[in-house]
Amino acid sequence: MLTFPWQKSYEKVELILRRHWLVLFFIYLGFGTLFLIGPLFFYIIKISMNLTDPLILNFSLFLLFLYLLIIWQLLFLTLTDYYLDTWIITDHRILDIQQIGLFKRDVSELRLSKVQDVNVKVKGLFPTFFNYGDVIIQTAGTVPEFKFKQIPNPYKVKDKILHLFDEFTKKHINDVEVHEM
Amino acid sequence: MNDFENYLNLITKINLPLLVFLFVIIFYIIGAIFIIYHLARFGIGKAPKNLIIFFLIGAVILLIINFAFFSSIDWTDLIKKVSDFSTEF
Repeated sequence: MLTFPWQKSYEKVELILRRHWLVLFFIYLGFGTLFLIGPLFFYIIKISMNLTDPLILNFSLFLLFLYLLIIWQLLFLTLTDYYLDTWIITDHRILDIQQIGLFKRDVSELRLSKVQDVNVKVKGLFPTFFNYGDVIIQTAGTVPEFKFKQIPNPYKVKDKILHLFDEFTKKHINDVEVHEM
Repeated sequence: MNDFENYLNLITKINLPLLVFLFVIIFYIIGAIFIIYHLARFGIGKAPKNLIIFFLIGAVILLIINFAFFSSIDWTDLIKKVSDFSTEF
């Protein structure tokens, strides 16, 4: 069962969304290349300069592993940003959680009754073939628009939101939250 | 040239390589703590928690390797070789 930390006792989580796995793939691809460049560069230098002195070799290996250590941390900083950007859809509300850097976090919340319009944008070769795109929710709230970026199955997500909106308005006449009365 | 040799001797005396290395490691550990804190506190679902374990394993292994290589280097000898190399030019 899907849950999140500040979930209300009466609400049920329908979807927890993150950006499509292809975004993650490109992150891993980029950093994988950086991981390979270091040893490759070391190997080229070793062969071309014919490094045989153990002291110089050890120093070069030390620099190589220091480089890998830094790349490792940069990779996980990027992954932290990916995994902390989350969209949560419950049967009562929609939450947009955006992690911006390490020390800035934006959390926007929208009651389902405030949903006015839901649009889907799938643009480009990869999004079309891998079925991911943006879902844009026009709202009647303070934040005029909620944007789910690069999420998988955007059309199904749109249908789900509209279905949840219908269910919510049937159960909450005049938008009264009966669970908190 | 005397100034450069004096500078290299000074580096050896105050063990500058160790200071620089410790500075880098401390900076790295602080960054690692921030990453682990954010994933543990704000991560939703199992994936962020698994990421913490994966990150810790890699970070510890790489740190151990780095410490091993750092301690295997005779910095005095290395600085002397750099000094000799620069003298030739």
